[in-house]
Amino acid sequence: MSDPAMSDPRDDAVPVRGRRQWDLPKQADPTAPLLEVRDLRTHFKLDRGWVKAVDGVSFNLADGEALGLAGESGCGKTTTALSMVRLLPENGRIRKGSSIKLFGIDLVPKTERQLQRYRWREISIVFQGAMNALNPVIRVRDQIAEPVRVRLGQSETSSRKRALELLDLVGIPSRRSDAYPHELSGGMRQRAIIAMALACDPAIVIGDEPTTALDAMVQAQILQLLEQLRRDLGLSLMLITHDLSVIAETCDRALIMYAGKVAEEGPVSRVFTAARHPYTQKLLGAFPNIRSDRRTLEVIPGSPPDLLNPPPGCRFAPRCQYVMPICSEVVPPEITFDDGVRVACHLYTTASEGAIGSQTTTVEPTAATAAAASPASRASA
Amino acid sequence: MSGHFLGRKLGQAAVTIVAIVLLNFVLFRLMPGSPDRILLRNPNATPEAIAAIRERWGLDKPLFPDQLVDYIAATARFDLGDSFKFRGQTVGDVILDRVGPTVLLVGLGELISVIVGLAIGAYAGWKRGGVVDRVGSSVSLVLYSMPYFVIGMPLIVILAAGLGWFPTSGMQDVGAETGFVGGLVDLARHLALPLLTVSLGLIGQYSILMRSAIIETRSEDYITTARAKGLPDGRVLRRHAFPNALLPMVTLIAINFGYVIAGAITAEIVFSWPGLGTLTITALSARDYPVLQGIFLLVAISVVIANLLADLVYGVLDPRVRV
Repeated sequence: MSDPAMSDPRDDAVPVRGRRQWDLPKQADPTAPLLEVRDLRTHFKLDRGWVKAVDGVSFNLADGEALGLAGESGCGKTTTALSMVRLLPENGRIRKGSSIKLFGIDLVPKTERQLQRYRWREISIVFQGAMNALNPVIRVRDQIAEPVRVRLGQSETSSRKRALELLDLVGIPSRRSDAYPHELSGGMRQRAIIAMALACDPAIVIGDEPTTALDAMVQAQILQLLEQLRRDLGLSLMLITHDLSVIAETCDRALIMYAGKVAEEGPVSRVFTAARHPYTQKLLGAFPNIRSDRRTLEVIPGSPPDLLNPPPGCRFAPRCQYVMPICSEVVPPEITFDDGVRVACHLYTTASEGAIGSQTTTVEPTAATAAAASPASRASA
Repeated sequence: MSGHFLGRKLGQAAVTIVAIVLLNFVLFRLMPGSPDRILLRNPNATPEAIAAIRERWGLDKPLFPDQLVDYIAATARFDLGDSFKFRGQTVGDVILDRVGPTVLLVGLGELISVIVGLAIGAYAGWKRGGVVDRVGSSVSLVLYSMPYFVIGMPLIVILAAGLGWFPTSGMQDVGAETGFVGGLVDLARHLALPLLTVSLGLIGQYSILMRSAIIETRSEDYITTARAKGLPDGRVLRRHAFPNALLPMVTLIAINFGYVIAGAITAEIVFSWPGLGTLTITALSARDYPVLQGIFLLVAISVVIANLLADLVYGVLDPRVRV
């Protein structure tokens, strides 16, 4: 497989779709971007009201691209990712007006049954191996083969063969293939989970803190494996982590979330070197850097707001050192800069010299073509 | 499964049975009253007569070691002595006559209620808050809380006495139809109501326990994984949730086994079912210690065997315990 051009992930848009072993979904628009999320709002119903865990998140994921989602615990990273295939707890709802377009197909209005078509075959998830993500009473090999057999309708023999290939791909020797999860080490389990996520050759792989709870050596091995697989298989990756160094190492773009909203999003090189949002700056400051001689880490005072009743303006305002009167009244609009960084902060709305407009302008002409070729019009064609 | 696991479990079961046999000996020796009085049934017996009786039953020998050794040797030969109440019959014969009906009733009842109860409970827990859950759970709770005779009596009143569909008691009609098929139909008609009673009570219990096991399993990470794989809901339940929820149930069903035999006493009494339950009551009221001792031993051993089976089944179901 050709070396994917990392500078501009769009370049390998064709090879990624071309490598697919299975057809695109019938309603897919081959010219539409891989994944376009607009104004995603995922709320959880409690007796006391709705927890606005994800509240108006927009982002794109291009073919072959790796996007890192970062932020404090409870900022909505995982909820955002799980919303893609609607793997939410029973009280979770994706609210009206949100759209999640995969190949131009909006997944939000799909029924549970219809959505099953997209799970694993298009978007699969690498869960945390430290958790109980593998079924303790089923052989690892069979858990990997299961989606191949059930989802792709392959025979017992060929799905098992595929499972063994995948285990080989992630570096688990075939003699370990009939092991049960508890017989594998943490690193091996995580590899098996990665193998499982690749079973149906998905377009997008979501990594939900795939290296948390692994020791540093194994963590590095797993990240290396993910990176290599992404290059070899041309996967698009969405990596959730609170470890910023992981994003810096493996991702093309970073999306920093705070309290259910996007604080800052853009190329890793820009976000990490010239952070604009005060929260991003604080987050980076709170992270150890081996190249600096700082002895102490910064701490962000306070804690994230209660998402049952979020503050009216900017959600970071109560903890922000640059807070202005407007911050606690008006929700800051998302501003996109020339270097491709998108920031939601009032510091930049007033002095919007460098800004080229609001979030809607980030939607390139492809959005128009995608809208014209909506699923309905294609279906009738 | 490794031979080591099997061997260890068998060893544990053997040790338990030895302990039960010893306890059986001690327990009945500690009971108030001396057996010779019961044997003789004569408060004015002469010392010579008592001595003769004591010698005849081996009671003149010291408890330890002679009596204990005799007892163990006899038990090992399955010689449980003679019944006081059923003169001329050995305890073995008396119990053996009654084992069949109880095994039929309790065994079939367990089988039916495990299948039906686990199915209802699994579905109710999976679709928590659904129709099956709301109706099933309240009915199950009512059934679970009712002793067998409370379930059985309305059945007799309505289905047997009122509508006359089923006989009210016994295991067969006197001078019933001849032939194999006729006999089987007659047995089935008699079995229907006691079986229904035992099954209903157990279904209530098993479905409630299975429901909570499934609800607990449902929030496990591997269920999210299975859903993320885009598997149909039914497959997630059957292949991923059910086998895991079954693990605690296996132990529960085994532990329950002893209670089922004991609990079936009331069901057997209500329907005059000629099983171990009615025998226990008869033996109790007649102070037939040898028979009671025999029943105690039998029930205890079957509980040990049920637990051994549960361990083995557990080992098959859960790879983590096969060590």
